[in-house]
Amino acid sequence: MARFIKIWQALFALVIFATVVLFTQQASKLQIDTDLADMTPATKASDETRQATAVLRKNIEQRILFLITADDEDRAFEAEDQLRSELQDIANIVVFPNNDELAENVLEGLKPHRFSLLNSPQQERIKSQSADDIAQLAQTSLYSVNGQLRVFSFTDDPLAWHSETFLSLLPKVKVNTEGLFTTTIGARLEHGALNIDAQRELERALESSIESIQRDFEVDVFRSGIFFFASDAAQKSKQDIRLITTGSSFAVVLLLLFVFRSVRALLLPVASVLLGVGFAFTLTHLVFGKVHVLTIVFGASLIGIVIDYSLHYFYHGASNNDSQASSPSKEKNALFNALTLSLMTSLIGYAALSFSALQALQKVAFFSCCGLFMAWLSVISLGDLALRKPISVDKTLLPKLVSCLQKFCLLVPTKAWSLITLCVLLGGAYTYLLSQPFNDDPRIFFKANAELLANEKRVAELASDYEPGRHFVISADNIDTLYKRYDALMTMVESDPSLSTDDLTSVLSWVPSKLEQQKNYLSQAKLYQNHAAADILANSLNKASVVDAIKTEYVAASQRRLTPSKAMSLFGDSLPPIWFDQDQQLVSFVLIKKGVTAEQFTRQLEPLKGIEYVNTLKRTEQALSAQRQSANSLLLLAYALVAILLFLKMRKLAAFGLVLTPLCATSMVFICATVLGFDLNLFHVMALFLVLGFGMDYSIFAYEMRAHSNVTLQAILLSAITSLISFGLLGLSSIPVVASFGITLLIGNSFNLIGVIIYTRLLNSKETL
Amino acid sequence: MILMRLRLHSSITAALLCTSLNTFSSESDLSQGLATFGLQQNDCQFAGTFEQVKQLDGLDQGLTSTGVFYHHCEQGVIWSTLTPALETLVMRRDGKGFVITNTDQTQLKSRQGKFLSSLLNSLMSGDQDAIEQQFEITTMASGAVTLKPKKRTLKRAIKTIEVNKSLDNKNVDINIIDRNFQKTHISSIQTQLFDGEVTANAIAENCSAAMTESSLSHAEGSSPAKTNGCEQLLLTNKDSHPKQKS
Repeated sequence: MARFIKIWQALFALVIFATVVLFTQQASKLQIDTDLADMTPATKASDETRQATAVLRKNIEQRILFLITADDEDRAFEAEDQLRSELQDIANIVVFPNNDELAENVLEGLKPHRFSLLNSPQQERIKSQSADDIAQLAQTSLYSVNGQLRVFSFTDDPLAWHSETFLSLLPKVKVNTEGLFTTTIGARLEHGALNIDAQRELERALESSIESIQRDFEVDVFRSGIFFFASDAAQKSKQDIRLITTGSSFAVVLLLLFVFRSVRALLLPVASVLLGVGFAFTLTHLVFGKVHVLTIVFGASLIGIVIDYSLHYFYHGASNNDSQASSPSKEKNALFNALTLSLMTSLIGYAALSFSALQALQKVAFFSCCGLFMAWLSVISLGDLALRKPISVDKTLLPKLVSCLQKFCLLVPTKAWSLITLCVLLGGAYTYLLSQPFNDDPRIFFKANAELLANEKRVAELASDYEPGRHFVISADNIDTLYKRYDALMTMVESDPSLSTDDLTSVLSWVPSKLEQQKNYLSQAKLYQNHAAADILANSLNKASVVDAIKTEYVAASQRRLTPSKAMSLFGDSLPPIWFDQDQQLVSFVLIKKGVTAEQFTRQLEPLKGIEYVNTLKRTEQALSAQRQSANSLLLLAYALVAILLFLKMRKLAAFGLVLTPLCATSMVFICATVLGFDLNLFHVMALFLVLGFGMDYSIFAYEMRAHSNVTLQAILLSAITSLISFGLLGLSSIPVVASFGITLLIGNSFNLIGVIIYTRLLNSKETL
Repeated sequence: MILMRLRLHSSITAALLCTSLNTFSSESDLSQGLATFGLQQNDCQFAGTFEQVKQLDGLDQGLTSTGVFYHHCEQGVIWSTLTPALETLVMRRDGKGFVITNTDQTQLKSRQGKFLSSLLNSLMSGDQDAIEQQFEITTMASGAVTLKPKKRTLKRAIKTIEVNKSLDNKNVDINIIDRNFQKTHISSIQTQLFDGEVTANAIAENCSAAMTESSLSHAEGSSPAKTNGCEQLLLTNKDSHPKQKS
């Protein structure tokens, strides 16, 4: 045993050294991640659209929008100019061009393709009117005060037809019924802004600019963007970390001081916590490049678990000294076996989290496994050192509590406990299979700041025309097929009385197909071939040669066609990537106007290949539900693996009895959810893995150290109290995900404690028999 | 925004022309160099003729149009182009505007249309306060008056407007330079002045007399009573034509 411990001590020293080196190397590049996407599972997008959807989602996450409103137009514009100028000086933010500049760039880019583009009324007129009629109307328009507005010079557009086409492509101005003038500024974040410190700095800079603009120009400024919610969530997480870490640490330290009556007794627990969390943080940062704030919050709750190892070591070390045990090495072996088994079952419990599709939970699993291992190693390596001088243990409160709890168990006959256990298990199965107290709505996970929501709502009312979470996705491996599928969708929309083609928009509605562009080009021969409308107009102005250039350009443009990729490139970053063209995969997103429902299309689209209707909220809900159901299966698998591990170790059927404690605690969580009326979600189920870990921890110590059941129960009770403090505080978190974890562990671990006391009672009865 | 820019260019042309005809008869303190472009109107009802030359980018020669106009300080203004194509613009003091051709009549319903109607009538009625809200007024040593837009929406359409008058005050030249440096030149002559005629009938007669040359009654299929714009100008509570245009 001594040699064994020396090996572990050598390993411990090596790991400490490596950790210090790694931490020092990474210290300057430490990144705390607040990306909310880590908490959202990947939705069930088809292979063709997954990449495009990921690109679109990432782009939208980095966009922010400022909306300025005023009752005076010039104040609104002046405020916009000033805010735009201030934003350009702020780091990590790229401001999109203003609408005027964008319109100029777009028109300039579309100009070479004007011979292939006509709007629907123009297509009709060019068929029905003669070249003479067209020329006459163009001449009247030239002189009229109310004539066709021109966006091109006379030589580039003598008949003003292209001006009419392009002006019809511009979005209609959103009518404001409140008499307010509005203007917007769009921007995107640079990647560095997702770091928590950069985020805070950016938010402060934005707040300061907005306040000064509102004050100086007497305007209102609203903001919209996922960045603001992420930043708010990060700040709340930081407060949570402070509360949980401080609260946990303070309460646990007080408790330990009371029990062990010695500051020296804190050294090993504190050392194991610091080393465990430090090792976990360093390794997680090394592997993932950053540590998610959610990981840190959960990491803070590791305190409650890693303390257990020290407590058991002290309790059984102290009891050895007191009782002068006849075979101290045998006792030590039993303690070591218990600690190791406990570690392994906890590792299985946490490791199962890594099977989740949620990145955040994978990181929590990795962090927790590393932390547990290091804490265990610390205790094994340093435990003897800590116990060189004997530590006394309080013999007043905890023994009395244990005694009370044991007396409670005596009220019920031994055999009745079997029946109660069976009822609990059946009750749990019943609630899980039949009552199904589950809610997978993703909205319950985000308790957003009311002010931020109000800002989003206002921006949506005044500046947004399209539904953010619902759209159609059309995909194909070539452009002609894509347009055919788009036409099929539009035909279906036209035949539906509740929908209109005006309710949908996409790049395919602005850019005609190649075939249609060819038709438009050929029909414009009536304008630009010899002796056609342009010639007639020029002759009427006695300037026959003024149209020579455009006629030549028309001939040269015979093969020039506008593509969706080209059209999108003209908008740069200003538009989200609703067109995707990569590796022979084409995807077009078709946006749906606000307030329009298209759910009835879901079934009708099934026979159509390459067209999907996406309701992001529903998809996320389905993904969370699928995750939860798979987590339930993984939980059962974890129970099976733990039971097999114990059976292989113990070679007795009694091994399966150890699993009953956490299994009953899990059943009680389901029963409480039904009785108390709260819904369980994916994160409640994930927490049940930890309930398994804790329950096994208590059962293993109760079994392995049954010769000193009183002492063991005291250690378990102390351990349970520290865990309940840590997880109880988690239950108070303002982040719903974290609170779900906390509530589950609070209920589950309470029943673990009750279960192990009953189990110990049954063990003692059996021994007596 | 492009729409705003281009509509404003055309209509400010009309507004400035009518303003100029009666304004140079009032004070303009050149010796003190003050920006006192005399917008004060001495007369309420007047009419005249105009010639407009529009210079389009890419077209060397100007586009010349001629016509007549009528102004009443309480009713509004009629701006009627006679050559090369017939078209009448009616801008009422109540903010309503109409465009009448020999085949069609439509109401201007857009926000821009209402804004232009208000601006035009401010200029023509000599509301200097309203003009100064929209323009910075500078009087040059030569006597020419320059107007520079203050508001951003106007600045998008117009770069500057320059007004010059002849020594006998009868001829006025206006140059409008837009954002793309395209020029519009307007020459105007006041031909009729109606004062002291305040009854509705008298006003209607004056208007019709002024617009006699613009009468489209000879055009095929048109009604004489509606085609010269006087009826639209003098209407109070109803639209004369159901067609809407934005």
